[in-house]
Amino acid sequence: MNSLRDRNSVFYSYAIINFLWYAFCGVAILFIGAIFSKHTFGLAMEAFNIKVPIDAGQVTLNAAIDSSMISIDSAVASLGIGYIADNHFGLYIGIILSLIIAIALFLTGFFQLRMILKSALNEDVFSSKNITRLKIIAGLIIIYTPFQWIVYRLFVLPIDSELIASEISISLNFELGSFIYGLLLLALAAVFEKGHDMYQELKLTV
Amino acid sequence: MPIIVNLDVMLAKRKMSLTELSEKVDLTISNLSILKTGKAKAIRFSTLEAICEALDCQPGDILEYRDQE
Repeated sequence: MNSLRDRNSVFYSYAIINFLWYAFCGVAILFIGAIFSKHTFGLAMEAFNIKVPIDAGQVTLNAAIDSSMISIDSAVASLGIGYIADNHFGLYIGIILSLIIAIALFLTGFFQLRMILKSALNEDVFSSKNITRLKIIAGLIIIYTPFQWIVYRLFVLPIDSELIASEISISLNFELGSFIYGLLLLALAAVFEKGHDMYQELKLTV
Repeated sequence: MPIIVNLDVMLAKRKMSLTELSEKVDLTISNLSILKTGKAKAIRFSTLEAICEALDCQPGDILEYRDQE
């Protein structure tokens, strides 16, 4: 066991990530438990809301506000999941399944990150397994935005056509940002590949 | 690889075991095994010097170039 003085940033990063990993697992179990309890015991799930865009024409401003000075391009409403479950059960199932898939993908990525830090702690960071792990995380980050877009199109948009604005746009910056983070991780994976080769050569140098 | 390591031949000539050599040159047996079995990708001059000193031989006695064709 290393003494406190020998513990470096990798150790503390791993400790934080390890704690977060168990916390996220706990939250995921609670979430699935909450869905189960709703259908089994009829408990309410007031904490879960879905953000839906609404038509700007449906927004009425307070009479005290001078509406001539304000232009509303878009507005977002928060819709309780209980409403969706009661009125659009098919869409509700879709949203819940998408959320479970999203949680599973997130936990998969987080687990890979945890294992990379664990290998760094064991001083075996340039391994072929870590290259695969980095590629998995990069892939998950790249597919995140398309996945979100598909879920939105399939399950959120059809909730209530009267409630939702006709034009939907996803922020380009966010989409591009997440894609670039994915590419950056792929570049890092390429660096790791080179590092792995060099480490192998170093190990076979007598 | 066309570079052949004749460490086992030299060890046999000097009637020395790998363990004895590893103690003399201060290298682990696993590293010497990598060298002996020809899996090594590179050899340090310091290692070569220590082996030559321990086995009382020249680098050419340990390393040999053999054309693969």
